[in-house]
Amino acid sequence: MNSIFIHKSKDAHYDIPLHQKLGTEFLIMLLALMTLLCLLATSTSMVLGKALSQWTSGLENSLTIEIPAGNNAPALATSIERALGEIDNVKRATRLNRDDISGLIAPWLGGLESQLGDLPLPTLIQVDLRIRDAETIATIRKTITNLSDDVRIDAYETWLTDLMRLTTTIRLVALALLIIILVITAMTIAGAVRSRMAIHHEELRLLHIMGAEDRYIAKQFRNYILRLSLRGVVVGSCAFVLLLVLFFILKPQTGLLIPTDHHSLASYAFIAAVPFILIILSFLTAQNTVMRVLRAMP
Amino acid sequence: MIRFEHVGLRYGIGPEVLADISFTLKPGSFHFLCGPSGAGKTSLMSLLYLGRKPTRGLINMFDDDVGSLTRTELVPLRQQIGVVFQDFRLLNHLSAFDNVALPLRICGRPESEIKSHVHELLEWVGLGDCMNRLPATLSGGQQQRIAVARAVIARPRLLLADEPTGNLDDEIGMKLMSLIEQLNRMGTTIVIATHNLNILEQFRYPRLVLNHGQLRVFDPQDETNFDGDAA
Repeated sequence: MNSIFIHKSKDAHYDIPLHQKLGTEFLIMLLALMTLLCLLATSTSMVLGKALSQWTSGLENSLTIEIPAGNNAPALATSIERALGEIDNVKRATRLNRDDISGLIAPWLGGLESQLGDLPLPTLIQVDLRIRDAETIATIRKTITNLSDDVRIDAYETWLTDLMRLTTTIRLVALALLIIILVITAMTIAGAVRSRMAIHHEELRLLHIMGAEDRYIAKQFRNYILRLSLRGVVVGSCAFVLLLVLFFILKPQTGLLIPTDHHSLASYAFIAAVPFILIILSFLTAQNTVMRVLRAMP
Repeated sequence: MIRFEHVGLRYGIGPEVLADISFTLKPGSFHFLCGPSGAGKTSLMSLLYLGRKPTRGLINMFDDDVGSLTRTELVPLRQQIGVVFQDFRLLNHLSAFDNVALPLRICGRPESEIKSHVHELLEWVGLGDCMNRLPATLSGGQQQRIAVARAVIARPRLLLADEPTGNLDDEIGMKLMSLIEQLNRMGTTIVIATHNLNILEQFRYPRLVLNHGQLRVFDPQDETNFDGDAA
């Protein structure tokens, strides 16, 4: 007997002909795309966060005090160090020696390091704080101003604050993007399920007349959507891995921003959770949509 | 067991297709539902298989007032009713076996039980060699037998059949009627909508006669009784 006349047992679990290709297969590609976008948004946020953390590492809890060159500079530096030692939140105050300062300005002198001996270099004190807060910085400013008006304090506020804001903004944008993607995915799945329910209205009615419970019918739609989303999520995850490999291959040529340091386990866990979140979302959306539509039936 | 009291049904704002229908079906009774086309037979059947709610009146089924039941509470009642539709309503993507197995799967019976019951019944209706065939590849008569098998597989308390012998030759038709009588003897209440005069002559059970939405009861065993209780 020709196989088209014989029932295919692999479709036996669908009493409703959901395996028939009637337009909802686009969900595979949609889920693949959404998985890729979610993974990109999450990993971009993670990579940028890590990069910014590397740039600002060690600076969040420190500031530099600059004493202009002059005859009283060493004595003033000693007074400042003593005064800083009395402030609770100051962990350490370290005066940089001449070699350290030469090393800092050498790049701006291009090959003229030998002339440094003739330059009037300022005295720099690196101050490490236990916790960076506005109150401590204000106390330090006040203490130092009392000792001398010429001393300059660089607490990196301007660019450090901007970097922090940028980090927070990028993370919020990534989170918003993630939420938007999830909402669009849920809405599309709900629409697809409703359309299949409309197409199979007669079969649904028949199952109802036979005494099928809502959850019996919902299970079939749920499993169908689960199969589609599993395929989509696998395709999207594979595309993400390929893209990642491509980034690493192109990194030397393009200088792409990919911090090589290890990320936290929580970051990796969150990225790994993204495909599962999409699968669970699809599953619950299908179940919820079917139950709501069925409740409207007689 | 099944009681209709002053039941009326209308579709939308149209006229009543069923008006003031009252009758009682006792457990294990056998009735034919007769009447000309458009008399309301299909509408009455849809009320009986709980596919619709009446616009007025009371339907009491298996000691439950149908009007007061929620959707969830209707489920166990529906599971006790077998229906043979005039257009069969087989699921075309499922094999003959799976179509017949459907009511048992809905009730959550184990697969081993389903397999043995379905095999036995399909053999009995002469479709033992067609179990894996899709309905589209079967004749009208074979499809009808699958529809009947599907309706009776779960041993329903009430069997409703709309022209169950319509596409069958006389021999198979009589065989099916014997199967239905056998079910009736085991306690199943039967209502068969039919135009088939041969069947009506041969099986002299009481008739529910519908005309212009009104129901009258006729018992061929007692020709003086042409109204009242159908049981």
